[in-house]
Amino acid sequence: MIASIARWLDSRTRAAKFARSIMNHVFPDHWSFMLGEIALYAFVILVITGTFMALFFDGSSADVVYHGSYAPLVGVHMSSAYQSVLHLSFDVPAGLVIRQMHHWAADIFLGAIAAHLLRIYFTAAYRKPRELNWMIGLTLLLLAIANGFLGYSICDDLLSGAGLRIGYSILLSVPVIGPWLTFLAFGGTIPVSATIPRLFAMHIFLFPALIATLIGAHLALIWRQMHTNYPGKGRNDRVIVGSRLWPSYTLKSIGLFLFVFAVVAALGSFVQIDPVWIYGPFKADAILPGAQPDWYLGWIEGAMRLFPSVNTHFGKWLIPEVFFPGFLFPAVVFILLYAFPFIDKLISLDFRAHNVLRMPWEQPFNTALGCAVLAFLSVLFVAGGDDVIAVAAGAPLAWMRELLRYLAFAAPLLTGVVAYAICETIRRRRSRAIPAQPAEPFERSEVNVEMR
Amino acid sequence: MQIYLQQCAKCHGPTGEGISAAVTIAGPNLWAEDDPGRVMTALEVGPSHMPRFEYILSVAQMHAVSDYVAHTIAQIHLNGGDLSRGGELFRRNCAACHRTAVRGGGLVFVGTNAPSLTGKSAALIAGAIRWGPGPMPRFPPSVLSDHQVASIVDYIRYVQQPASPGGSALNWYGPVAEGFVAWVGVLLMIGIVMWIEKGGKG
Ligand code: HEC
Ligand code: HEC
Repeated sequence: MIASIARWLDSRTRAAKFARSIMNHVFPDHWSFMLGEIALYAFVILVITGTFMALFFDGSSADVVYHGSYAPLVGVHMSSAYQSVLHLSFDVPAGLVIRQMHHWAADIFLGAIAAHLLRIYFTAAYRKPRELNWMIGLTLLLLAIANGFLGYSICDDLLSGAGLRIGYSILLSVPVIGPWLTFLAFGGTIPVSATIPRLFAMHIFLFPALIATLIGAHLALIWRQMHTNYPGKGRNDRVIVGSRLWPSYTLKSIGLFLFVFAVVAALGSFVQIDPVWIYGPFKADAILPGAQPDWYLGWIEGAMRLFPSVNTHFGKWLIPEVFFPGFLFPAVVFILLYAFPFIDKLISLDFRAHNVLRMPWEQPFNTALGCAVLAFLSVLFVAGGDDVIAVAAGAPLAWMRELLRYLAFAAPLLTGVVAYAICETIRRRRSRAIPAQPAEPFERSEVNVEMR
Repeated sequence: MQIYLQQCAKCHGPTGEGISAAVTIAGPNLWAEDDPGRVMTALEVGPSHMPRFEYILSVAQMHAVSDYVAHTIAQIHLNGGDLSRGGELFRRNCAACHRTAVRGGGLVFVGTNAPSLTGKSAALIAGAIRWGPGPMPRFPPSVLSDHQVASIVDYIRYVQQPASPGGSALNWYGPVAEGFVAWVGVLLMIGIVMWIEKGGKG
């Protein structure tokens, strides 16, 4: 029966040969090659849960009075957007668990992207011919951060309102074009009624569409260029060893999707995230301490907290202090990241294409640099939550912030030096054990395939 | 009166205003203890650091002190608060220091923390609002009426009572705690991926 349908289809579409070549596509097996896949599946969950929520969310800041089932807010004036989030959380069946899954999936999406980025960096997978895909990946990271911020901002609760105001101030602080940028993104001087609809449209149409398109391009390039491989027996820049797309890789991947879904569903069911009813509706005259962004913006928040308060004057112009840690610093970080494949060429003087990865200890300088940057970002990340940590640990905040300022310099230096020393030791030990093999010259990206 | 000044004032202050919670054996403000029966119970039980006055005072003396506290010292009468009004007032007047989730927060400028308000009695909260212990501002009747104070008290006690929907609240530490949990999730999934790549064995 199935066979005859397949024959019928094939005689009309001539798809069998094509399908077979797809199914025989080879993916190397290593756990670290599936980190990006976790992100992909988190994105799938985001789209599914987001579609459900879009049925109930009302992206408008019209003033309404709440009459739902959360007692402490009955009779309170709020925006229609915030009210619809409360309605979704308390009165729509399964609404709260879907909302929490969406938020957890977003946090995990970014975590998986970050882990994937680290893997690519520390194994030098960004080298020729994959520079382009590295840049697509970075763009995906940027879009994901932005969309996460938009997502929790449109709830219009007191916490996200505080975040929105910070985002607004950062954009406004950009010299010359700041005011135009803020008018474009926020539709006026916040709080203004145009903001929520604008952010909502960006959150559910513009950014997801861009992310989905770029994920397509990202995967297509991986397909076209074949996957990289770790160095090992029988592997070189021309030979790829791994398992076929069908059946082994597909089954593995479906299994992973189910696991990702299970973890997100468990978090959504058992751990509260973003309890907007506790924060209350956004009111311009109310404020709360212990306000942090979601984790993926914590490093920028931390930079703003640690940066000294200096206002720079250029003639009659003033550059406000937030511009440096809030805009310039992340911009420089991303520009350096985009440029890194080319910076790496200058460091290693290696302009050839590679399909076999470089182990972290084979590139001590890059590894040390990566560890140092990671340490720096971690200090900033901690600083982003320093008030909460101070209260939780009972330590005085002013004192902690001073310590973090010193750590921001000391930690990267220390981590870098230690990482370098460790890499050198491993490298020396290995090169004594196996004499280095001369690398084959390799210029094109076509490779032979060896299947298991 | 005389008994109060002798026995109670060293911990609760001569007019029942209380002593800052920063002191170890601090008696709280008594301005909302308007029920002689409740004061009497406190004297018999001796809550936390307070001595049990059963052994120190006669029953008649205890009644006299209770009446004195309830009728002369107490000046706030809590009744019929409005929960959602209380929520709004709390967010506007208190959340800036005690956090919206009433779990306390850091005050950079004075180097102390605003304490968590969980498990505090209604009278203690009401007293603190009027009296303003330590660096906390005072909210006299011209700022917050008795009804408004009662509303705030209702709200503070409501938020901690019913288990908050949506699972563990992570002590309401907010996005910082959520971020750490998210990373635990990511690490868990990396563990799962490693397990899958080992062929699902061990
Ligand atoms: C050694 C210090 C000390 C002395 C003396 C003292 N108290 Fe107290 N009192 C406390 C403390 C501490 C608490 C708070 C207990 C708690 O945290 O629940 C308290 C609480 C109370 C309460 C509130 C109980 C509740 O839980 O609502 C009342 C009423 C009270 N005291 C009355 C008195 C009176 C009347 C006297 C004098 C006869 C007195 N106290 C003497 C320390 C003292
Ligand atoms: C400027 C910040 C600030 C504001 C605003 C503020 N508080 Fe406080 N509050 C504090 C500090 C600091 C303390 C601790 C005082 C001490 O050292 O005893 C405190 C103590 C308290 C206590 C006593 C806790 C205990 O264990 O004895 C209560 C109750 C309280 N606050 C309730 C409120 C309420 C209700 C409001 C709003 C009407 C409010 N606070 C507004 C800073 C503040």
